[in-house]
Amino acid sequence: MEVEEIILNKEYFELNETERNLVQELAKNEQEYNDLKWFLTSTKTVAANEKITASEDLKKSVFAELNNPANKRIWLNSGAGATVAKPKKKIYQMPAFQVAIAACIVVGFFLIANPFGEDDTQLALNDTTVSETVIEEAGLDSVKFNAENMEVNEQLDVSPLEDLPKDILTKSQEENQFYRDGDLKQKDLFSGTTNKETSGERNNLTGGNAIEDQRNEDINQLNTEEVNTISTFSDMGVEDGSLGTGAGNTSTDFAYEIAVSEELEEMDEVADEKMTVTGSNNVTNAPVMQDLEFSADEDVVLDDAVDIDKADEPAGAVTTIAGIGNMKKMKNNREASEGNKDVGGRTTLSIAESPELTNLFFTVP
Amino acid sequence: MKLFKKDYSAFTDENLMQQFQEGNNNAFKELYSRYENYVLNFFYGKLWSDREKAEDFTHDLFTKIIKNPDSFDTSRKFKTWLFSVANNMCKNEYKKQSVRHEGSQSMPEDREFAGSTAAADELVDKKNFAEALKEELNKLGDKHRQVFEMRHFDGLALNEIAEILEINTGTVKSRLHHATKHLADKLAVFKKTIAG
Repeated sequence: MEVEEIILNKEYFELNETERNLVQELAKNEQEYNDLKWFLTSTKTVAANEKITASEDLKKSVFAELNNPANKRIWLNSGAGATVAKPKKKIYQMPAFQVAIAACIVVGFFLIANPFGEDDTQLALNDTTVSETVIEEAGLDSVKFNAENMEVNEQLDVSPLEDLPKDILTKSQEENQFYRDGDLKQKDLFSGTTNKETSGERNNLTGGNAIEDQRNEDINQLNTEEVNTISTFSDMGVEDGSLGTGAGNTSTDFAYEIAVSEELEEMDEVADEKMTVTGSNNVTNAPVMQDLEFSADEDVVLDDAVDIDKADEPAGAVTTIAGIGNMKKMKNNREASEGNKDVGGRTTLSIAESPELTNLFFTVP
Repeated sequence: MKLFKKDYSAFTDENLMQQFQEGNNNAFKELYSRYENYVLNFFYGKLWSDREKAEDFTHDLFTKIIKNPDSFDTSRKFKTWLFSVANNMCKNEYKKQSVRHEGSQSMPEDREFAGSTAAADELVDKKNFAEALKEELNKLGDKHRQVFEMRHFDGLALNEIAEILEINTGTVKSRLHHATKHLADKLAVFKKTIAG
């Protein structure tokens, strides 16, 4: 309660201690208190008498302004307006907007931060190049295998090529063509066999090795010829009958490099042929792997064409083992076949001794 | 029909003003009925008891609210906001007219209230108490007169006066006490006359 109200509503003797302390600011004694009480009462009476009342015209003019269409405001808090339109609410205060922002933040976090650390490399791949991969592995194994053979060949006691006359070096280049020609001939020789016939042979292998042995003998014969081809160095004037190591190794290494590169190319060709064989071998209903083994037979021949040591291998030992991607198996069989050298036999024929080979090799353009 | 009519008397001023901001004209009508006479008498007391001018200013004030209801901040108290606008309108009018009543110089805070008995008797002879009060109010400074009128004529509380005038409540109290004591001393002669 304020001081004026205390003075207006109470007499001086009715004041308590607290009220008297408040009143002391205006009236120090009862006389001043009564004078002040009279003044405030009179002022209140004057104020009440001074009050005026608003006219009806003022009210009409104000309400006319209220109903003026220019000042008309749509009352949305009724009917559907209350639920459809929410006036006086900013867009960031609307729940839909807030939910959308929250969703964007969450999605953006998962897209950018990747909290689970998923690695794309761990995802499954639809790998449709299985056969090609096998071929590549086979090629690598073949290269390793030939590399081992190259080490063996380097151990051969050959004389340096420095001692060789120029015409021999020229011939050695021609012999590189013999490699290729020999390969082609061997390849042609086997390409003469139809898939149907070969499949039949393979199927017969389960009952006996007669046909297989015949093929092995043919291959062995070709390998022998190949050995003779390579051994022509000794037949062409090398005194000690061996190829040189030192400077002569350049030519020898070059020959092996060519052989290896050609072998890789042949591997690619074999892969293509395998695809052909697999697609055409409908007669035997044999599994695909058998077809691959059949195709690998040609691989073995190609390998043998560049491998001197393999010339004495019985062809039968490698016929069924040189499968695609299974060159280690072939190597094991080769090692086993080395124990049968006397069986396969090493025929050291020179080209000069064989008129047919002489004609064959030296008539190649 | 009265069953379906909304009773706006239960709403506070702030709720009514918020509803009017949302487009409810009935809320404004309720507000107008509550403050029509308050505002009119406020202008009437401030603008030299000119009724016509007071009505014009009242009309202008409510028109401003109709045209721009968003100017009201719902966090504030409507009554003090309304009288603040009215007070500013009066200030502008003062500046516009450059009217200052003669002898309305500001009263010093430590002014001694001492009047001559002869002058008081003369005043009693000429005027009644109401006229004498107006005259003495006009002699007061604007600050003291304003607070006194707001408190005793407009019925505003001290804190409301402080909020309207944007001053401390203690300052309002001090000014009010000075004005009351000064007017009471000046008009004490009327007590003797009326009592006698």
